[in-house]
Amino acid sequence: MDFTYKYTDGQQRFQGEVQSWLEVHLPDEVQDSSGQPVLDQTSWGVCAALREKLGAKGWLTPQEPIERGGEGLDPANATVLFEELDARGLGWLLEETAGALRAIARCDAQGDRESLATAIANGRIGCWRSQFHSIDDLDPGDWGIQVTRDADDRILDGEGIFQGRDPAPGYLWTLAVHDPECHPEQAFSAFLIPPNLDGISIHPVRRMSPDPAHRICFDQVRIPPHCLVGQEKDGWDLGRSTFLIPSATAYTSVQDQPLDDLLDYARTTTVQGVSIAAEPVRQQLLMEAYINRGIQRLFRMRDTWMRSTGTALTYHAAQTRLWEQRSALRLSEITREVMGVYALLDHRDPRAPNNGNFELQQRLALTNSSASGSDSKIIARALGLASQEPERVGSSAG
Amino acid sequence: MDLALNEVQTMLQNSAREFMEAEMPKSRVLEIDDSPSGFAVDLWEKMCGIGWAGMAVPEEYGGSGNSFTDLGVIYETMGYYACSSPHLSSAVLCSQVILEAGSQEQKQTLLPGIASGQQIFSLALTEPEYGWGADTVHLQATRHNGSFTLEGDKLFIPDANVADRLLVVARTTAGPDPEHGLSIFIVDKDAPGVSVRVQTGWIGPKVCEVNFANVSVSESNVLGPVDGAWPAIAKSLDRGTALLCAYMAGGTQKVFEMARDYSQTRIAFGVPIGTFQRVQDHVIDTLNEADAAKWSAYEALWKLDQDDPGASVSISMAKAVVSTGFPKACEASHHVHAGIGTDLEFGLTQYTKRARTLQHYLGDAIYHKARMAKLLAV
Repeated sequence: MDFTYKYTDGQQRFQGEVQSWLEVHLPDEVQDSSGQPVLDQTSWGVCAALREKLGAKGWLTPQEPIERGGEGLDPANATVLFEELDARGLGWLLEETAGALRAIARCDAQGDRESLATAIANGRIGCWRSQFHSIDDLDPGDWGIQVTRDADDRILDGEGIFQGRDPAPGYLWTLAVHDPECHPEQAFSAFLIPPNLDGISIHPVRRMSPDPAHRICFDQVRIPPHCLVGQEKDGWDLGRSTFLIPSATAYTSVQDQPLDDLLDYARTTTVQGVSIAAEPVRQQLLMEAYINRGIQRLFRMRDTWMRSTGTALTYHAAQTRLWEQRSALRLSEITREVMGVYALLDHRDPRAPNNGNFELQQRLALTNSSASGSDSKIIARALGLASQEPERVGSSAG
Repeated sequence: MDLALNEVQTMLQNSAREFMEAEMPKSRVLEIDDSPSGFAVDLWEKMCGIGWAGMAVPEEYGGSGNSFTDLGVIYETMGYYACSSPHLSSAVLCSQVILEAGSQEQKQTLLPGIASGQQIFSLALTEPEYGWGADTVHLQATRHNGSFTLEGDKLFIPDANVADRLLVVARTTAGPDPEHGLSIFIVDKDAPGVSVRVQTGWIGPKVCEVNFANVSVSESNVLGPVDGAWPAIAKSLDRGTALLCAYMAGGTQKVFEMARDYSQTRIAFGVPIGTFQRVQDHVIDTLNEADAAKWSAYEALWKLDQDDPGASVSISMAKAVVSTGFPKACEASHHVHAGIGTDLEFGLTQYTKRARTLQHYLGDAIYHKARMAKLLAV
């Protein structure tokens, strides 16, 4: 056994290259933009410029071939790139791009669509994606966007929540349901839709999480044929491919600044002259959070090792995500117990410790935990504990 | 990074499983637990016969000098089958104390007997003020005319009832630093003034109260330096703790598998109970605890083998994980099994009993988290 996680010589060389590049091209304003409540136009402009630079380098879709706007990196170096960006709070740049691109790539894109893919890969165009936590949870009867056919065009009706940081996206990437009574695998089509079509209205959504979300209403929106991605009713399958996007849990390193900050806070904050970290109850809580992070690291390491040896992951990746979601929630509880009411102050309050990042972590943990039900289902299925599926009227499932 | 077992470890794992499968059916576990001593001589002799008692002892003293990860593979398997034996007390804790503290002559005299299994030792450390730090040792050893006299009580001592000899940790000097002033004494269990009583309760493996009433020990039976025994004890406790974690990880894995298998086959309302989300959640909880236990234990063992400076933190982390996780997994598994789980013949309760006993042995989660905080300078 060997629990040392280290890059190969080739990875170390590439890491040096990435770090040098980021040193030159990374503006101070986006050293860590992931935690900012809202990216205003100024800071988004900086992010957009960085996205284009990354795109021009082929690093937004690093594993795609050069002709598709990528750099043709092998998975090992793609890991290095993601970990370097993620360490600076910029992993989302790759994640936002990858979903739509993978779907397009799977359709053997030609012509217009190929140039669209290149534009996305080059960072010139951003996409918003309709929000769903897991393809396994997609219920056609509950999906808010419906599609009907009108000659070669499609008509979209309904509404959905979309995610994306680009304030002016070039496209909306979504699924739409043909038949709410149908089995999910045959119920959906996938679309890349320009947001300026007649009948589309966009409304900001206020949520706990700083990630921007938008409610988009479709009122008899006529969609030209080229907006359909793949074949009709391929949506479930294509949606599945968008979930193959890089996810932080797919990598070995664990970025957990909030815990490090909390440990520092506890070490350096005193009550009646004594560090609060020395107080036995708080000390126990801090170590519980430390242990949770340790297990998180070990689970990621296990998953990475399994991937590297070609071992099939069954429940493992979902277990890692579930552990991380639960650990983040527990950390937010521990933060409140260790810090008391100071944990609730945000970045606008001059008395907020650590610029309000503790408060932010609590909101993020709660938001990110919303997918835990899906991960539990995936684990249960992998363990051979079949779920009880609700009866579907007219289901064509075999 | 390579998380696979090596060739030797894979062979050890296979042979250990084969051995345990043959020797430790659940009826046998119950039989041993129900016996007054909690000790099966024939099982111990077979374990020693295949060399397990000598694995932590260097070859020069009659052992096979295996790595702790090698031994961890055996412990994980023993835990999976809820095997009771004095192995941890004698072949690990006491052998390591002797290795760390003993003179060359003491090592040569004592270790071969431990490595062959012919001599069983038990480490008598904990007292009525139960704890695993030096500050909880109060039993007095008074020097008098070239010998020492032990007076006091030891509590919750595993395997003292079946041991030939005890390694008794006693205070020879009192002072502000609790780690200073401790010494180790080799005491025959049948020496005048020594009495051993198996403690009662839902405890497994069994633990004992050992009373020392004016017990005389010659200076030649002092192990290591007078007043300076703690470093050797601390090192040995670390090694034993890492292996105990592997044992508890094996038990947690078994408890998970029992919950999973039962939820697949037990039918309620016409469907397997595993289709109910509430049941699935319990099974997933046991799986999470099992995997957390396994990987934290193996990382600790690996660091121990590497002589990694962070080994003690990892060992305490692993013990905190298993001390919390094994009992939690058992409770979740009981929720899945409902009434049948409490049937002693069914096999789950033997794990629950071990989880609750071993949760405290060599330090509970509270102790180990406090130790981590100290080591990490939090």
